[in-house]
Amino acid sequence: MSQTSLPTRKTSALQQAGIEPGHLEASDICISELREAGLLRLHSLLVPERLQKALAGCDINLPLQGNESFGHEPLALCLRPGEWLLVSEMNQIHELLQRLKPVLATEELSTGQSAKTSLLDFSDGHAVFRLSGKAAPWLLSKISSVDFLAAAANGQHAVRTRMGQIAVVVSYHPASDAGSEFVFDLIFDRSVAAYLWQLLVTSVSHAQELAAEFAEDRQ
Amino acid sequence: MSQALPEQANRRTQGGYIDRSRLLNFQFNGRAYTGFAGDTLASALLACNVQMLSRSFKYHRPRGVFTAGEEEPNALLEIGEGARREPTVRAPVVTLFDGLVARSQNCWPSVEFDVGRVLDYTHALWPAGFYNKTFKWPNWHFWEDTIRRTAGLGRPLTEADPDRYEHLNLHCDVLVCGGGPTGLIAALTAGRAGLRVLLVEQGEEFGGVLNWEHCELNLQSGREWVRTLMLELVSLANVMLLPRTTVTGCYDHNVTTLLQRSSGLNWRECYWTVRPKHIVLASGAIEQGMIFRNNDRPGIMLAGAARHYLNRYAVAPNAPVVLATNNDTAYQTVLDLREANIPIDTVIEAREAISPALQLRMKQLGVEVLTGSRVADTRGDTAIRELSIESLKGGSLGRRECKLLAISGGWAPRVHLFCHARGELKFDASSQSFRPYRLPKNFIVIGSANGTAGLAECLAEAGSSVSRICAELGAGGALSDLPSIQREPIAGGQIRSLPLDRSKSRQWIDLAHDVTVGDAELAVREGYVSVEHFKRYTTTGMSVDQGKTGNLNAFIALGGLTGQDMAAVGTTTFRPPYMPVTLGAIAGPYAADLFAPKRLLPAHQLHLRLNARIEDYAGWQRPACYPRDTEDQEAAIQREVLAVRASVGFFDNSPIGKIEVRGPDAAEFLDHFYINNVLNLETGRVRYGLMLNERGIIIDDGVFMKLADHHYLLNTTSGGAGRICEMLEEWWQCEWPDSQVLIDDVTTQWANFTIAGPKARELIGKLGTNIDLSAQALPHMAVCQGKLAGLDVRIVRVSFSGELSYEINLPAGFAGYFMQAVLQAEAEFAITPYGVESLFVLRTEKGYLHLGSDTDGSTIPDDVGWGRVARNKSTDYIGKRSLQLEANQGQQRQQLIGLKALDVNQVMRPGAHLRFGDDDKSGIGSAGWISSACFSPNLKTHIALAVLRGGRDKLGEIVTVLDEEERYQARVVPPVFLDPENNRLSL
Repeated sequence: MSQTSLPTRKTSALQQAGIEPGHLEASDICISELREAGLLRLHSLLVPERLQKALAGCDINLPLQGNESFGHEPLALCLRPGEWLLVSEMNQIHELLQRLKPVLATEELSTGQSAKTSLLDFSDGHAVFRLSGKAAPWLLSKISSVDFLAAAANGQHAVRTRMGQIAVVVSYHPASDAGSEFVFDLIFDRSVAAYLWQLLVTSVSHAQELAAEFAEDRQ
Repeated sequence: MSQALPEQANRRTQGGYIDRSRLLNFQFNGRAYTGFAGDTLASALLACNVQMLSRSFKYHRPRGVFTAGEEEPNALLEIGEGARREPTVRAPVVTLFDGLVARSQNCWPSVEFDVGRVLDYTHALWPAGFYNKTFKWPNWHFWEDTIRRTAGLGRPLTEADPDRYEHLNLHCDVLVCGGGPTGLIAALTAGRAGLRVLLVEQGEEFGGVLNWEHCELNLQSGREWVRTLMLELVSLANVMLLPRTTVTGCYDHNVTTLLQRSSGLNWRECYWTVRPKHIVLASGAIEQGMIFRNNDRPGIMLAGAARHYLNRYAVAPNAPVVLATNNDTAYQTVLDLREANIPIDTVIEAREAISPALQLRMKQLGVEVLTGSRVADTRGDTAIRELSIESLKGGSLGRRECKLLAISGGWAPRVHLFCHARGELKFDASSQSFRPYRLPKNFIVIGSANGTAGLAECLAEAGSSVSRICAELGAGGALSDLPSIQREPIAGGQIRSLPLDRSKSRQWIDLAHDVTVGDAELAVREGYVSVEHFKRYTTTGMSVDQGKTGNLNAFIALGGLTGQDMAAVGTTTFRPPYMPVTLGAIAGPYAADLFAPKRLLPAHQLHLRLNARIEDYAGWQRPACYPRDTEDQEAAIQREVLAVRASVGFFDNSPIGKIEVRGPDAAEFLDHFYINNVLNLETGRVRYGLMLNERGIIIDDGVFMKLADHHYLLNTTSGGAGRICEMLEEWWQCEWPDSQVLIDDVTTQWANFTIAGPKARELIGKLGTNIDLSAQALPHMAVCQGKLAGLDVRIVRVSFSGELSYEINLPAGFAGYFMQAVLQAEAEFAITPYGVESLFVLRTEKGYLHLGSDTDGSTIPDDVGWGRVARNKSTDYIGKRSLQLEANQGQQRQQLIGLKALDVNQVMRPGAHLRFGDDDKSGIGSAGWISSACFSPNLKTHIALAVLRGGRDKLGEIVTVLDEEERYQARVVPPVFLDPENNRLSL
């Protein structure tokens, strides 16, 4: 029997829904699926400060407060005390996983009990959309009750919220290029990617209108 | 001077703030009319001298325009056509546009001649609450249809709404409700202090009364002053201005909802949810009507509204005009009308005396002021033409010809939003009104909404109150420069209760719902003397206007009838929404395809390529079956079922819930949730389990497996993962917070494919694996990990089909790859993809329980054959105590059984009820019902699972099946129809 060769790229959440290219660029807004994003979920019963100290040795700056996010590669988001998401490139995730496992095992050993930490690869179960541009906070404000317009004032941070009945982690970080003030990454369940995409795309025109009318640089 | 248009007979050639260069054509009741840009529908109709616009709700009496705002109780029209038809819109707030089509409603055949008027002539038959006591013979249902068809105002839409509606959430420091002068100063003060401000105005333009009253501020006209202020507000980047927006409700924690009407074509309405730190209510006040006989005719209008139409829209009323009032503000109408050379010679003044200044002014104008008097009655059919006057001390004061009767019963603070936010009102004897008393947190009321009289006083209050908010929020709090006021409208609009003339019943207290003094008397006579009871009995204040111009009249009437003052009568409760909100706005974008999230399988596209018939199962879009060529669904299902039993089938089971639980206390923690023993499960083994709630009811089922020490994976029902995960979290956080467990929902991380059938093992072997698949190494109810088709997988040997079956878990991103790899083996194995409907047939043949079909909100383990396991478990679990209740014991509960129709060709359907032979004669209700049914292609007959009272003791007995009108007989059999020895499972 002929064997299908193992693919190097996985099927992305929007590809699975038949949505290509998973990128929308319009005036004041850009939405794209980050197909190369990889995610690890770290969930631990260990003392967070101790874990933070241990992971600092792996170049991971672990935030301790809910809604905090630190770092870039990987980006570490604190979802709630004892629960984090680590976001990186998909091809870095396996290496990151291997790097963290022994550190966590050592920490567990020191407590005398095993299975106090779970480190799971969530890359396949989740999708990531990136929103940028002046209208991005308006677009998000259309589908979530979080104050995204104050995002820049709050600096890099993350929130867990609901958008159109979907649980979404929103990670705000300053844009790397000067052209775009706001960059938001939406991290959510893979199975609803097509629905959220449609909701965002449908909402774009009104968000553009709002940005044009109310954005602070309207003068 | 502009040229007068003949069709706009009442339009003045000068004045007003309309654009006479832009003529707009519109239709009303099929007739063509014209108006100008800047008009409302009401002003345009009045300009065209259309007095009668509609018929009243109950008695079908002629009605005209009564107000100039959203409080309008009379001029409720239908506008638009087709799917964009909108019933019961208030003519004064509809902005006129070219091509507008409007119609009267609640009349037939026309508004001029309405057959329904017979209800007015026979009004004695229809007092308040008549429908509760009159139509008892022969019974209510005999009359119901006729009454319901007669009741109501507009016609509901039947077509789908073609328009788009938007939603928006917003946070701000200060939300200012009301864009009148007070609101403008409030917004400017907060805006200058750098706070994030949202200023909301219901109308098209900001400025409120300054746009049409004769005012002078800072030596500018009111309108000019507003324009100057707006220039500054627009320049402040931290201030958002929202015209055409109504604040519809204030809720806990200052959450406020707004309804914005679009000025463009992209969307129709936007529903805002605003979370401000502080709310400033500057909503103004509403002028109230007066109670007298036949006070509802077209041509009777609030004095402020008459002034509004004159000054803002240059609409001259039909003359002569008479004014009836009990307060000073209405005299401004006299002054404005006289300034416009419109005849008004009589003022019917309820007070015994007016101020000397006013008296002198009226005298100079030659206006007769009849103090201590009131309107006794009015005459006229389609519009008022004459009124009679009486002294409050008794005695007639004669009659007057009258084409417009301007009335003013005083001004009531517009406190609805304050009440939504649970603010407390208190009757203020000095202003004779209910004023805000106990403020909700971070909520202030300013200006006339607070009962403050006078423009200067209102502006000063706005500046100082908002400065305090600024200081509280650490934003400076500099007081805005208040304007000097050279001219302002006459202030002093206190409400005064007049003695109720109880000899006349046909005096309207609520125009919108046709509630009269007679209704009020009846309510009081029948004991409804509490204001809340009174409201519900008479339905006053319960129409679309929610009593904005009628409530105070109702309180006055109730006070007059019960001998109480207004303070003792109290108020009713104002509830959201302040104005009707369209369902489209509430739904927003969440309609049609976006109504609810649709969850897609990781290999969704491949299923489509296989011609899958996709259906929704608990939010998941899954293949029901895969019809080939001309097959219908039933044929496809039968083919797929036979293929699984004969060879091998392939099923995408990815939605099955997957929850990982790990931690030193994982086993003990999970043991609380299952009726089955978790503690003695060995690593690598799988067990089926039932989860119960505290009442012992089954809430989920599925297998759980031990992957390693302190590490378990639970499978839940498809679509149940989120619910069960939340339940585990809740119990952990609330009951066992010291348990050392970690709970992770990994449902979508893993795709799950089932390969089932006698050739399943052979097929998996061909895919290339390092796992020993033999029955000894991987027996039924075991789990292992390894490589398959080059992927890291977890294989669980469990079955929901009754066949040799492997569930293969692999990273979801490789689902498509794996599915293609499997289907490549089709030629060799005749592998058949099968859908959910086929799986349901397979599991029904095997008698496997399907949660939600074979169980309901009362099913306990014993009902489905798991009683012994539940009873024998020694450790405690959720629901265990409830199972010991008497109601959960005994053999008379409804138990899961199988059914076979005596006629093998008889189609059985879920939902059909079962009766024992004797029940049928005695009329005893249902003994149970069919919970699952299908045609079994393997048994070549229809089979069913059912729940039946005492069913396990009835094996072999005959029951009657009632399926709507159909009756047939079936035999009670064990629920397992196929392979009861499980030989196929243990291959």
